[in-house]
Amino acid sequence: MSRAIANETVGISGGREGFSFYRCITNTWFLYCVSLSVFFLVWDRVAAWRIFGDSLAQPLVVLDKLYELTQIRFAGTNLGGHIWASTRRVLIGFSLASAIAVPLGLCMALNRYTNAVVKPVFDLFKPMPPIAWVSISILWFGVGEFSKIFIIAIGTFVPCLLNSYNGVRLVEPELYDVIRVLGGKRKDEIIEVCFPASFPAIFAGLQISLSVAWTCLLAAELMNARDGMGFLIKRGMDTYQPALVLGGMILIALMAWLSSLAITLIERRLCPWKTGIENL
Amino acid sequence: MQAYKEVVVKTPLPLRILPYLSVAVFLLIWELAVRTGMIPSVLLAPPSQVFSLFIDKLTQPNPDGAVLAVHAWTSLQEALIGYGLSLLVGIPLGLAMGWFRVVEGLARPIFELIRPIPPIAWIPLTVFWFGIGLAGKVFIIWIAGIVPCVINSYVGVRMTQPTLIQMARTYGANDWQIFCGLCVPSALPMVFGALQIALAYCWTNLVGAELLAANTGLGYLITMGGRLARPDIVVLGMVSVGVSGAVLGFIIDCIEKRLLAGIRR
Amino acid sequence: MPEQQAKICVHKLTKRFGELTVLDEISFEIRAGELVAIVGPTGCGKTTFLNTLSKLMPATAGQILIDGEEADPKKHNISYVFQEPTCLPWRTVRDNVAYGMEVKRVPYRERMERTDKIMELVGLSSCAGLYPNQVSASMIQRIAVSRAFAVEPDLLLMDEPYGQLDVKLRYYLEDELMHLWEKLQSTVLFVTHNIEEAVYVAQRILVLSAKPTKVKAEIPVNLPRPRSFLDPAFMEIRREVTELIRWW
Repeated sequence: MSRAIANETVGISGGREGFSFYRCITNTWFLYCVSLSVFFLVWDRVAAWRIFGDSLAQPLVVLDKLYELTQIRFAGTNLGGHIWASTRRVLIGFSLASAIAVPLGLCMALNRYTNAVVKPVFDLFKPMPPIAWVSISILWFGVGEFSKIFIIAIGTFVPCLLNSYNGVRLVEPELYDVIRVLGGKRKDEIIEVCFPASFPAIFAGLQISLSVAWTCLLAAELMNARDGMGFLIKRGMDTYQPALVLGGMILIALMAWLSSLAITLIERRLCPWKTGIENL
Repeated sequence: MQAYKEVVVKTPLPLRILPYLSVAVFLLIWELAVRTGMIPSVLLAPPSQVFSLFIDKLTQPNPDGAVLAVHAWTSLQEALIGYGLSLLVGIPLGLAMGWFRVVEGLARPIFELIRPIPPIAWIPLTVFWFGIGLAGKVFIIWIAGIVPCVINSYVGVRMTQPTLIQMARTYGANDWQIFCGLCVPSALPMVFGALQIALAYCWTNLVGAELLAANTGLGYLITMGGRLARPDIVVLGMVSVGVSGAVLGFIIDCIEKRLLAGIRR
Repeated sequence: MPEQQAKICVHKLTKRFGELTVLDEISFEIRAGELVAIVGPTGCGKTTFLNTLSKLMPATAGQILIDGEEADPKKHNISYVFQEPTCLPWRTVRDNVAYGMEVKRVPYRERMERTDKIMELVGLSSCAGLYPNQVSASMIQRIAVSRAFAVEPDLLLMDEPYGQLDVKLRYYLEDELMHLWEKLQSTVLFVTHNIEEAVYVAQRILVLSAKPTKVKAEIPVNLPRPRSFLDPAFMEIRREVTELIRWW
């Protein structure tokens, strides 16, 4: 067991121990490699042996399909165009919603009256899954661009607002006392303590929002679209092309992962003091 | 005794009234906006109409093929089976990943591959594999619920106080004893936290699954409303989804509090 | 006390973290039933020393022998009372005291008997059914001490167990520790930064030097018990130890 347990010297207590077969096969990187190769191998074999009939494509076939899409125009645009169409929707919806939700959440936490007016209405909408808005947004805004942005914005709005609201409310009261003892005014309390202290919570909210945003985008595009990654998946479903479906899934997972990575990097830049617990 | 009672800070009257007022005003504006024609009635149904439709739908299967209770029951069934399965698989997996390095090494890369895929992206594949019946939707809900279960259990185990583990080690406890006796109980509050999060994920993705591939269920009700251009049905579906989700959340919350009280006393 | 054979034998114990030598060939012996205190300047690696002794960390070189065998937590009874509270919040006080024996697979009946006996000795019987969050900080440290004594350890390591308590409680608990130790005849290694505490409890004091840590001096404390802080002999030993720690 090489779990570091020395409380004063966690980082360096690994030590140099002799080479042993057991340590070698329980090495984390080795296990990662084993796991990934087994995963892809099983996927490949299951597809090749047609255990699900024609409905699963081999990994290489999927990659091939994706490569093919970069070369040809599929439904009006090539692969890059589809990715950009989806990303643009997410970016617009996400920034719109967070630009409104974060300040509103802060206001609600800082002002009891705003809270008393907004919170109950917000609570009415909160339990409604954002995907449930798909039909009505199509009813309202047609099948154009705006209905998709609307759904993304709705989905993003809730976690953003909740997190900035709770972020401010969970600031330790002692921190305010520090400012007060130094003779600061309410304004100083808000600027010096409230905002920085609630930053990590706001960013956590943005992370959640982003993953919700991709889900909503997908729902919107699956229902109705002429371009985008969801469209690729839907077209793959309608024309029974598992390779296209899987390609779309891979792309959307990749974009979701990249965007969440971007938020993490920005957060690290903006609040370097944050000590996160070890997280997945 | 008297002195203590007078200290109680009263919430100002406006603060107590405002919440009710704001909901009432919201509903009123909604009703009036549709009634006066500011918003065309093909786009939005007023609350009163939704309510009367609700009464109707308790007994009327038209125009979407089933009464409200049937839709709700279908959805509930799918959600609860998927949810239960995700707890059953996700929690033990997350706990084991938190403590046993071999399990973590093997399971984590696959988990990280699957995690960023939005669960509803699986819809086409599940339709290919399972058809549009119960199994497909359960699969999607399971995928959705398993992520928070794994993460929370994993973090819970990882947050076990290192001194406790050292203590057990000095008594000569083996890995398994430490896992069962220390890590699992100390992770329990985090695990219970996952119950709530996983439910929310399941419920959201249930609607997604039903929007695309279903013939009953609340999500299907919403889709049908959209197809028939009946805003009242859409709104009714949304409200039912919201309300039943909230009720389920409340029940889970109660269970969670019970369980927490059970271990913390 | 009659001369006994060495129970614990530490031979040239060395611990290095990369280039940094923390423990430098420490050697000493402890007789069975002896209470030895270890004092040293701040940051001299006392905790590392205990972690190495208890086998929580592998030593770089050197041996730790218990009854002539290489020490092993799975084979020998080693208990460790930590500085921080180490009660399991989901177990009652009684179950916490029994935890060490549970890991050692002591049969249920015997476990309960010993638990009850020890709880009686330290006055925990009245709160046996409570949970750790319902008792005070001194109680929590008592639970840890009782748990450590309950396994009838070959070697009991204590890492500043009373360091975070206030002075009055500390005197009280030190007396209680003496009481327990005299009753149960365990071999105890008591690490502290408080010289007075060391002189008060120990039969022998090992003074450590700053890093790289060596045993700098060994001072026998042959004072009668109960000891008094105002006894000139007591004060003399305390002065001597203080000098040793201050002068390097």
